[in-house]
Amino acid sequence: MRCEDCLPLVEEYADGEVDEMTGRMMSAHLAACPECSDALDELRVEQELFARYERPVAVTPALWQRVRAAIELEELAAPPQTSVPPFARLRDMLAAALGTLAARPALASALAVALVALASGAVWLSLPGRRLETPGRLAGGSNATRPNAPSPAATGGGNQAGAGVVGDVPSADVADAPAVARKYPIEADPRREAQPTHFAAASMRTPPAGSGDIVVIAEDHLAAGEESAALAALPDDGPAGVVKAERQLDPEEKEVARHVEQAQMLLRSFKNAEADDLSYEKHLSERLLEENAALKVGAEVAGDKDTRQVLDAIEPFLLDIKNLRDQPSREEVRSIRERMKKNDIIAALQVY
Amino acid sequence: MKRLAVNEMSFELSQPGAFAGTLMNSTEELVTRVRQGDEEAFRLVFDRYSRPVLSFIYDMVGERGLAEDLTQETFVRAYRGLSGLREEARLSTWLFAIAKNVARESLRTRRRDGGRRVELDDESVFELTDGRPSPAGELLDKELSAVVQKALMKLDEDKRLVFTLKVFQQRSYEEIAEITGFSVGKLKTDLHRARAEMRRRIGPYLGGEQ
Repeated sequence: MRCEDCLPLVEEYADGEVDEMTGRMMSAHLAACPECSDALDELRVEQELFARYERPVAVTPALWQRVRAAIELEELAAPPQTSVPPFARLRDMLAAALGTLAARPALASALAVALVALASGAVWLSLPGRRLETPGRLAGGSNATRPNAPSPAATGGGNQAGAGVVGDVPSADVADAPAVARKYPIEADPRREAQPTHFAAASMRTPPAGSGDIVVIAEDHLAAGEESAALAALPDDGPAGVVKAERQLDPEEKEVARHVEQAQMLLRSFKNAEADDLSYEKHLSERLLEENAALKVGAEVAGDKDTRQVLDAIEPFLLDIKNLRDQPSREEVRSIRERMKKNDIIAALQVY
Repeated sequence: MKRLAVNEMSFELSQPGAFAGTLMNSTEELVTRVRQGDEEAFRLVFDRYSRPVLSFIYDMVGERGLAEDLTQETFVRAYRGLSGLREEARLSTWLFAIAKNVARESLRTRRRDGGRRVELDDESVFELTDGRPSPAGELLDKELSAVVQKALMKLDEDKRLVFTLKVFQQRSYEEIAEITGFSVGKLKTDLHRARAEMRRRIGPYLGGEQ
């Protein structure tokens, strides 16, 4: 082997990445060639130097606790396959009303037109003698099963009962509706987030059963008899559509928990960030501030004082970070960090 | 597969943070147990891999707090995605691939949201002194660490990635290719250039050593 063959392979040789035959040839050459062996020695010295590299990080029990808590939180707050958390809807609607619509008149107009169209559809559906003719699209008349016009699936009881489908689900026979509903879960389909029908359908979830209204029946934990009873309990001239969605445990709590976790991450990031570049934290706090306001309204409406207190505690920090100048002084940043420390806000949120 | 399994074990043994007691459990067994909902098994996975993963992420992002957050995110994603892991013996390679994605996403977000520079946090390095009298060698190592990290942060992302995986994490070219998605040719080139850059930047220090 010659030097021009050996030198280009010295790194691979040092890394143990050359094949056996090449390795033997190189070993023989290196033993006899000072130039090539110097190159190898230099690499080995570097490797020894890098082996002494220390990082100011350590795995602590707290890190495992954080991982565990995050997993538990995620399992609790896992986005349900076929439900829309009320707080998410509230947030979406508020955000849409306060932010997006103000900034985008064209979108506001489009939403208004869609809502008018939907309302017209609902009125049309409520007219006597009207039957559901175009299953598959709620906005277009809905494939939802009506008690006075039961599909074969709807009378079957249990979770196999005919489920209406919210949003832009492709047309399908009513009997196929349950499968379609699972294939196009409400939150799993990102397209639906942009659909006016999403907001419209969501906003129609709460009205009491009555002519022209749409009622959501929680699907997940209804036993066969319960669902049948629920359907039977609807008035004869009942709702225009029955929309089923999985029920989840305390969805508003999960929504708040997710928000609190994000706020905690933000504050942690703010605590560790360089003082002269906090654009990321400012941007995130602006978003969380909007969300915080929406959640506070929800907590207020629900009479949930504990949640309200937590959200109240977060708000000043979000506000302070959001209002920082683009190039804040170190004193301004330090002041917020000191207040965070004084209030022990990160730990408090972690406990939550 | 057999060779990889052996590599996994030797890698684990070579990690200072490896939890020796966990070596009683094979990687495959741990993965199976985690899939069955055994929290203790996931704790063992964490004990075994958290230190190299944290070090790797720190080398990529250069901030201690952020590295901890991203390590947390890595293990949460791993827990969530463990059912999708096809070859259980490749758990550590798979974990590093997640960590790489998490770190790169974070770096990308930072760039997009204002181009925060990833730089050495000098304070954090020198906080290691913890008030005890420092022998000369120890102080030298701290200075060396500061110099190495500064040089590391000046490498571009691809070079930093392959350099860290090879030089600090001792991964094979095959594993690095799997983790990064780079071809072996590209990673060899990046590694060669990264070594040259590092050599140039820590040259004065190297001279003192020699």
